[in-house]
Amino acid sequence: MRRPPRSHYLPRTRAGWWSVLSFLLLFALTQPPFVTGPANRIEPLVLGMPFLYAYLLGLYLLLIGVLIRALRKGV
Amino acid sequence: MPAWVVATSLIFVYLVVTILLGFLAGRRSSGDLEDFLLYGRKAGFVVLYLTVAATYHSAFAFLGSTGFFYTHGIGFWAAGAWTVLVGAISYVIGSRVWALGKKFGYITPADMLADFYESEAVRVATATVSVLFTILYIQVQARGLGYILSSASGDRVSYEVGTLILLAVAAGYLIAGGIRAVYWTDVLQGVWMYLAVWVGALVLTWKLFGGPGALWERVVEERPDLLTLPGPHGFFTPGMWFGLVVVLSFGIVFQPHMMLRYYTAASASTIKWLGATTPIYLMTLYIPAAMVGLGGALAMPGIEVPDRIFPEMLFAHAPAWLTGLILAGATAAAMSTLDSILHANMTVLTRDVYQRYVRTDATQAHYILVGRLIVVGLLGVGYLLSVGTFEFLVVLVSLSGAGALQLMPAIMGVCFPGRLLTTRAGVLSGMGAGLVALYLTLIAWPHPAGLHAGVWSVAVNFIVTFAVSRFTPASSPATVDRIHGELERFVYGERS
Repeated sequence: MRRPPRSHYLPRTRAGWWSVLSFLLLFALTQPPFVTGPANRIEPLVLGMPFLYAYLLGLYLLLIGVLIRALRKGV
Repeated sequence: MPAWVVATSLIFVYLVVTILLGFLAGRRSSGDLEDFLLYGRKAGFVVLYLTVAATYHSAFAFLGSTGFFYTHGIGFWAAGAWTVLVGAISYVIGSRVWALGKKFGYITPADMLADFYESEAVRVATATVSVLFTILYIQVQARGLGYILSSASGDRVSYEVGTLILLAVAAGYLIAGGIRAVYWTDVLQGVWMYLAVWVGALVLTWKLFGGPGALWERVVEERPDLLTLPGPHGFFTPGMWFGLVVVLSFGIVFQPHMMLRYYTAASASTIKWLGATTPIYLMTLYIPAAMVGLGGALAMPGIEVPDRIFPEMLFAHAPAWLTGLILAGATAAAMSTLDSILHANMTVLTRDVYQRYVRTDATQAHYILVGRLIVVGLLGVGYLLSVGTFEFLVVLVSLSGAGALQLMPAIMGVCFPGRLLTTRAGVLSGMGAGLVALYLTLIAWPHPAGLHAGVWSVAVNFIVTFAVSRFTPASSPATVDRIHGELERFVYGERS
């Protein structure tokens, strides 16, 4: 057996890069400073929900979507 | 019939069902140690999904989370971030842990780490961290159970007696059926708790406010301070938000009762499906929790113990039969985590301590018997730890999570081949430094610069691990090639 030639921290396929980068980008939007700055407001209400709550709910659903897409693409 | 009689009776009916399931599972057991501890590595998607979801969500999901929304407002919606992250961690790391467990026959996290780092010291340190910090988690669940039963009975069943009864039931079916009993009861508990929290929240919201939309309108009008960060008491600072996300995702996944679940899966595909879809269950459970907590802040302001807001609202505003069913769901949430922790501790102590250092050549039946006796011991320890003073449940959960987080650099070193190999001296030094940092930043100077102690401790751990690893010898090339080579084949196959 041999040592793996390349790091496992970097994706090796296009689908892998897409999944990792989109997950990290969306996840960053759920963290400070975004969540404590521009998103930290009540209005405008979104479907009757306060903005911060709806903003995070939307991001969480998108993140789950990224995971399911990764599964379907075999990442 | 008085409401407390109905509620308490329904909880006891639920307990009888779990005991029956436990004994049925025991009859299906093959008497094989791997079957008793790891479900014979044959857990399918549905069973694994519900046991992971039910194990992750505990008494905290019912009591602590609603109490947190009640007190600190929408900041607790950070929970969505850490539950989504749990899915991603399972997808990426869980599948690798499964592959190594399947190939090399690992049963505990310490098996994997001791093999890669060629070190009994790493085995002992991992087992110690695993047991030490999850025993705290037994205390959390036992306290939750005590709350629930004493609430349901209107304090007629004391907190201490309630805790003892529910601990004994969980230990009883674990002794009878091993992990199969845990998984079967978790399936029931996972479904029950999910339905219970949603039904309870919707019933209360419609009855008190006329629906979720009207609830939001009332909160916007009357308590806008609950709808932005950092919340009315300033709790959800940026550092605390980020810290809780790290601690309650990585910190929980690296606890042995979650890690063991990866070994039990029937296939890698099962784990990946699990990772991609468990956040749906985990995250959406906090939607009704927000309704209860925020609704409670309007309907019942100023209650003495915020963690009791859900049962208090049910008793005040829901029919007795529904209250009973929902509190049985809360019991399910606590018991499904408790039984898994008892099982994990039993597995670690049997495999990593007894089988390794006390009797190395006994029969499988002997090890199963020892495991059962260990559960009895853990029952006693858990009970003694739980009859202390009350604190906010989330603080204890954070402490347990931050402890298991100290295994992170060691696990990453095994599961992610990279440029720098972590070494046994590196991970041992890192764990030690991380635990010292955890004590200092959690107890001596709590959360310096507003950043959660768990983040400080794991940062120190990573720095020390990598620094020491640069100057100390790695494991033998044969071991590294064997384990990292297996991961290379598993992840990239023919493409590498």
